[in-house]
Amino acid sequence: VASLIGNVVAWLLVALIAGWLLWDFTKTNRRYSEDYLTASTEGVDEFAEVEKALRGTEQGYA
Amino acid sequence: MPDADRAAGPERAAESPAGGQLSLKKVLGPVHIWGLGVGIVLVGEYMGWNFSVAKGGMYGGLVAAGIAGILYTCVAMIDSEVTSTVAAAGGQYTQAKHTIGPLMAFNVGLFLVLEYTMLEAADANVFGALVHNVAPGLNETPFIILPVLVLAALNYRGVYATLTINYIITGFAFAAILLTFIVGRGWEPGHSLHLVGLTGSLSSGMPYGWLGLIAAFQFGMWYYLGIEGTCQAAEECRSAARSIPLGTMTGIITLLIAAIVTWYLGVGLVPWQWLGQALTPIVSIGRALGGPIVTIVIIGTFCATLGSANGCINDASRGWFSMGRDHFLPSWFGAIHPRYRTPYRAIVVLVPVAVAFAVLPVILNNPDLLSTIITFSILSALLMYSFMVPNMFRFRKLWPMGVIHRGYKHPFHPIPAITLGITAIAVFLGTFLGYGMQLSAIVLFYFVASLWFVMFRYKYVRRGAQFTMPWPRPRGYQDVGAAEGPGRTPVAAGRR
Repeated sequence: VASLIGNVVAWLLVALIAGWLLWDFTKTNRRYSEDYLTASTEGVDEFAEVEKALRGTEQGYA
Repeated sequence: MPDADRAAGPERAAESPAGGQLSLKKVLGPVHIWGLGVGIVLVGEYMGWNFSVAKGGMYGGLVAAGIAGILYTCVAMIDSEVTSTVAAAGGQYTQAKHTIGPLMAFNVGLFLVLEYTMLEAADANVFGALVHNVAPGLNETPFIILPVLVLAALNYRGVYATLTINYIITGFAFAAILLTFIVGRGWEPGHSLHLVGLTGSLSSGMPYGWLGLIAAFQFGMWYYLGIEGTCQAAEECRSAARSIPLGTMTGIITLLIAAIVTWYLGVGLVPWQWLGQALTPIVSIGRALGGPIVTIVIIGTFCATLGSANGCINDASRGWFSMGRDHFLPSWFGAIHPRYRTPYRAIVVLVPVAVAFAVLPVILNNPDLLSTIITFSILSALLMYSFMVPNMFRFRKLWPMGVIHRGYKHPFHPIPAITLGITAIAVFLGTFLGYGMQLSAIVLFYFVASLWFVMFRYKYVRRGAQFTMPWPRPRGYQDVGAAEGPGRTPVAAGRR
């Protein structure tokens, strides 16, 4: 009986977590525009920021 | 604030970070990087490394640990320098984009995603098997799927909690290894260990000679496989220049200690014929010592398995997300959750892939499939290490010392890169001896994927857009991106 309960609880947790993931996933996709969600950029160089501040130039590395 | 942002109303504005543009959250420090890198790997100290003993005997296992240790120390040094500078999600993929070009970057991105997703699948499968072993009445399947979903939800909700938990469970798993050394009084070899009896003759030390030793190389990688995953978190570090080198280098030192301690205890307590075939060798070591250490190493095994799967979800999703962001894959994958600031689509999309590979060996009742999945992961990693040799040379050539600042400058260049090349060739040779067919199949797979990229995907990638860092353009490279502004790429033929 304990094993049966264990298995059922495990499946219930699987369904619960999968349900929450899908719910939030769908909600987020619907609420926000694609342009907003996919607008992130890479390319931050913390040393370039320091250099920019020190040199007072737009380009981090002169 | 962008138009799209305004259009969606005040709720969006309230949730968006300063400046109105979404980005991954910069909250990680060196301990998180340590937890990520060591967390992915430490399961290899708990299981898998012992197959090197099966192939090469006790001394073969030691040499394999040493060769792989040199390989990964070089990997850690190179990654620390390049990623402390190219601080972007995607790690080696982003490095490849800067130093070599789009096709190499696509392949490296694919190596990364498959390495971590397959490893995650293997971890989940092992977790289910462990639960079934501890409580035989419980089915494996729900306990294979459950950890994947719990950890995916954790990753979905935020990187800080994810890697803080990884740090804690990995710390426990590492402490369990050290505790085993203390319980076994490893500093007093005659007390519990039987090194002379177990390794004394060549039939135990190197039973298959030099060929067995070479064949053991592949499994020596288990001690360290995944430490390069620290790079994936670079974009989420408060200071990548500090956190990546510190977390990665302390991580590889931790793993070198764990590898030697594990090997030493294993060969001193368990006959090599048994050790080489054990599913969980560290539990065999614990049982040889007896007492409460058995329970501690069993808990440590669960922690190591979960820590590895957790880190793999984090890393695979960052790789997939970065490729989407750069249009190497459909840009839909390059989305960030406005509230949790995680690459939520990449996390969710990879869940069914990992679950499918994890449950397949159970559903088909074919345990051998697990070793095929693991081999796929290892070979993908090995292909990536091969790329890191030209990567390092190119990085120093395109941006020589003094041109840009580096968070960490690895010493003795080019010795680490050359050493990495030589050790990678040795491991390739060992892998070819045992898994020649799989190696050929995987190379063919990546070749077909490359063809797909060149024929159907490359048209969406803007030429010259690989230099996303705000650095001086290397000599000889045209400033293609300047006219269209820095940052991510609009695409030539519509947005996809």
